[in-house]
Amino acid sequence: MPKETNAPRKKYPPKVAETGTRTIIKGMFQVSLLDSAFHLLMAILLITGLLIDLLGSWLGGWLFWIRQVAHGYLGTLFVIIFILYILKALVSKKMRTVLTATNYVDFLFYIALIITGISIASANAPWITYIPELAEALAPIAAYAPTIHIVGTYVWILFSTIFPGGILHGLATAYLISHLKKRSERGA
Amino acid sequence: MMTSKKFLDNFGRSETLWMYACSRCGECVDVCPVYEKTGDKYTAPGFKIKKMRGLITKKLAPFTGSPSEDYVAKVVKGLYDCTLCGRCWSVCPYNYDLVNLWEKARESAYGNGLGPEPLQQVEEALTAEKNIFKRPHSRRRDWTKGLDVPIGEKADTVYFVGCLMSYRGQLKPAASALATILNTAGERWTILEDEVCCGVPMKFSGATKRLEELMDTNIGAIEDTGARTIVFSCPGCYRMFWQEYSKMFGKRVRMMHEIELIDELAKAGKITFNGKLQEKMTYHDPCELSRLSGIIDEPRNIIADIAKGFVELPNNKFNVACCGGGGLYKSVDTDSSISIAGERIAQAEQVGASILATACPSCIMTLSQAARSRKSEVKVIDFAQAVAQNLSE
Repeated sequence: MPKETNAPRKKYPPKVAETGTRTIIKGMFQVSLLDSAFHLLMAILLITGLLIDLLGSWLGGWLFWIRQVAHGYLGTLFVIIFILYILKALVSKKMRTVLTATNYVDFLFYIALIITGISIASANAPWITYIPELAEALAPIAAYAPTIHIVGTYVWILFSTIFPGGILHGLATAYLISHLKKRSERGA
Repeated sequence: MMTSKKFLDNFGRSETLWMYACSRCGECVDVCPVYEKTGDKYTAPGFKIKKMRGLITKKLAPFTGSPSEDYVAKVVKGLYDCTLCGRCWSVCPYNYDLVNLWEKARESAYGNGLGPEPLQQVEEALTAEKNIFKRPHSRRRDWTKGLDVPIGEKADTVYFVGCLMSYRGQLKPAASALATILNTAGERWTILEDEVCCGVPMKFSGATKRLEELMDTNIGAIEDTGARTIVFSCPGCYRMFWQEYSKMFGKRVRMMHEIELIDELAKAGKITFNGKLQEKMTYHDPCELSRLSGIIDEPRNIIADIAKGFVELPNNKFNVACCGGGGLYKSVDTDSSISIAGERIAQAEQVGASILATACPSCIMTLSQAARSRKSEVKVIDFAQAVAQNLSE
């Protein structure tokens, strides 16, 4: 029999006002903390990455904080979360049932961006001297890593939008939230 | 004629966006009763969304290829291999109205000639005789013979009987039980002179073209009685009325399921119970009544008054496990539907119940068929019957 879940009692049909930012955030936490962390960090890294690349020269002193802290340190945290997320996706039959080929290609993009991201972050960073094997492994791509990281991101955005992957999922969610909010404000 | 190329062409923007927004968390997969039973991936809610999203993507970006007839046929089969029980919606963390999505997708499939053969026969029956069984329309009121049932009179309350209650002999005691309750309470009530199917089978199958015709007939007949309350035995009719008919009626007419009415009559002291039911009784929440209409506490209030030995089934109330008979699934795959119901009967046996009451004619038919095939001693009865048998003199 289907397992008993602790789904909260909801009202049917769901009203537009009931589905907004709060529902989405609550929903992510309901699925798992890992899910929430994955989505939150992904959004932060994408936005900060675009800020650095597109508006970097106008950011002034903020650039350091955005690049080093928001993109760099949170990026490190994302690596750990991503590994756990991938493991969860691979061992969970229900997740494998719903994930599409594009989602798996998305994962390959993430891996490429993670590797090149670590390569960029390790340049002149003192911690790399403590892991000589990693420094050695990253050495061949060190010169191309920034280009691959940036171009890879845009290729991924394009790919994941045309073939419905993570990006289109994010855009659709953002549109729905704003659209539903406007509708509920109009009293629809 | 199969026109699979146009399937999902008329899909709304909202439905399309929701499918793209779906988080692929898979929460809906494990709880689906049909997927649980058949193991066919195409019946798993999240998988269906994935495949429909694929179809829409191919329409929006034709360079990604065109789907084969076989692919579309599998998706459509998955859409109809569904009880529309709403269990997937109940666990969706993002509160996405999946029941509405399945209904809209079925509408698109049916409109493009992809509806399953048994459901096309249902549409033919509804067109010819205004009931799902293709039985003569003139015999719709035969169940009232020998009973004190007012027909087409001016009244405060209309009892909308529905196709199953009107034509299925097994359910005649259930319909007459509600008549007894209404008479005992001294209500000024009537059934319609010219009741026709409420149209919910059309909504479920996606054959919505002739829906308005049926609705207009019923609305006209109800308005002729001057009634301000409509009461239903069938949760399908009930949901159809509060979701669709209420757009026409507005707030002029109150719609109640029989359980709500019985609860209200009992609270007002218009009916009292003798509380003599000694047998161990359990209650199966019909999905459309509990999960999709929120009627959960009312039956339990009444049971507390009529039965001494009440015991709950597992997977109950909002999280109720479907009996397998909803969404016209029984017409599409009878064996699987009965097999799902068999599990519910097994649960009733496990809790030691000898009576399984429920408040939905479709659940009664499916569960009692399963009980017979399992040679179970559990007796499946309508809720109104249990109440009528325990009314004080």
